[in-house]
Amino acid sequence: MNNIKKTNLNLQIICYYTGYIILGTALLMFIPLVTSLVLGEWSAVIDFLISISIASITGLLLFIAGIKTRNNKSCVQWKHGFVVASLSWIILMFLCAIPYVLSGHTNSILDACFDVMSGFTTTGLVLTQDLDHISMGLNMWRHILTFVGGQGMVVLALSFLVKETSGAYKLYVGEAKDIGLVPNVKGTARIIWKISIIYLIVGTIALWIDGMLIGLKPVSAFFHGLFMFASSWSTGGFAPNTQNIMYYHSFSFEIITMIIMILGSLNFGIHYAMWQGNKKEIVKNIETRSFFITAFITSALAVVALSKLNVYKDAISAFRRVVYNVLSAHTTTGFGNVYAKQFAFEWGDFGLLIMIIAMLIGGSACSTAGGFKGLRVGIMFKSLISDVKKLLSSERNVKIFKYHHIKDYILDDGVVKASGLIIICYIVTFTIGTALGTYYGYPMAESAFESASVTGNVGLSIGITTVGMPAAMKIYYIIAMYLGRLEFLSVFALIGYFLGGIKDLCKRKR
Amino acid sequence: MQEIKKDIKGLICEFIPVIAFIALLFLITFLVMR
Repeated sequence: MNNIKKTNLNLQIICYYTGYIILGTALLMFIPLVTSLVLGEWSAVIDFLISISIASITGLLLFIAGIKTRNNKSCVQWKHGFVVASLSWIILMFLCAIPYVLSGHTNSILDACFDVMSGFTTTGLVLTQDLDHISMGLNMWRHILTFVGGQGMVVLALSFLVKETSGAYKLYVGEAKDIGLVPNVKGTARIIWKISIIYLIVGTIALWIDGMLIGLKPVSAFFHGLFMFASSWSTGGFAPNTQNIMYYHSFSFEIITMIIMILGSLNFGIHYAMWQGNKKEIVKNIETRSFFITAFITSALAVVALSKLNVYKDAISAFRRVVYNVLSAHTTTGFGNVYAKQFAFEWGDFGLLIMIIAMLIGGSACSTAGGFKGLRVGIMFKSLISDVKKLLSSERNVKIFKYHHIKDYILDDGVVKASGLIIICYIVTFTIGTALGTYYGYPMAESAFESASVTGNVGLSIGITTVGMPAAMKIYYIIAMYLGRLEFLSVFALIGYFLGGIKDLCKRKR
Repeated sequence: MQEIKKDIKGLICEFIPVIAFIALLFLITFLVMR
């Protein structure tokens, strides 16, 4: 009897918070709705009205189902946080795909779900057809998904909807954002949004002005600036046109997006520390050190390799095509200013290998970026160095090794093990994706490139991600993007929760 | 006002190392391609 009560309480807590997050997303749909209303896109207006209605009803039903737990916040446990974060992402994938399906620009529901997950996880791979002619409302929706996904759907709900803070930290960690900028979780979530909104204003203005200077009309330049900022900052890689960043043919536009994508891939903790006047944090932090070193090495190696192949004739074109794409891969943004097949035909195996490594390493933890994260790479490297030092030092000499990440931490086995485990999970996901690609007949190097792109939430494509690719690969890529973004643990908790529930049901039947 | 000043300072502090890093990458590209 007690077990049944416990299961019901668990379900109610999960329903209550998931309902909250879905209602928050339904509210977000008003932004593209208003955009379409202002621009007179009546078909899109109807699409969004239908989508808002379905999302609101779903959210309300879940919210009402769990409303009894409203005054019982102390019951929220870690498992609830993980399950709510991972479950709400799955439900939202279907709900947010409704405007895509209704627009008629996707070939199937699967393609629409693929695009939504690609947006949420800030991957940036696209299966939507004819991007140049979709409504401004739908374009707005695509970029809101990637912008909000970068900051985190749960972070959004915590910032503006959830009044109480007890139990909120567990939801927050469930979305792979385990950093406390201030003791209060709601305060931390609000700081993340404040930083993002200030950069949104500055970045959009910079890209808007640059857009007008390169010949776009003021209104068009504004929307291009806004969309490209959202994509760069959230390291998403979506663009409001088929040709992605190539559409602009502008060195200045590329430089601005390059700055924004590097800033977007930095840990929110570092942004906050710098804004608080701790200017040396960017130099001292193990994560930024790791990021800048690996980004420098991969960029330099790629330039050397491609100069040998004589693909790009001068420094400007090598910088624009090689360094830009490597940084885009390393920050997991996914803006590409060469055609997909040029990677395969011109970059050579070494060039592709560099890109794969850059995509897998990725940006920073608790940022909008994907990949292993610089923090884990830094910790693993530091642990290797400390092990070598221990071997070389005398047995009596017990030395404690530390690393700096906002503050000093002791490099203990637990930290190294946790980092190693997540890196192994990424490598396994990447390997399965590569194997699946080769199974369906794609060349090994190209399969590895595309698999690294989805696992690291990058979004660069070598030409495999198309409407015509096998459905099994689309499903696997959705799973890989989802796993990569939530960093595995939340998803494993969700699976464990459902398996536990099934076990309980079987026991009761017996 | 004080808060806005602090935010602008923070923004500038972040921009400088990022722009310096991009400049360094450009320099390396230039040297390799020369």
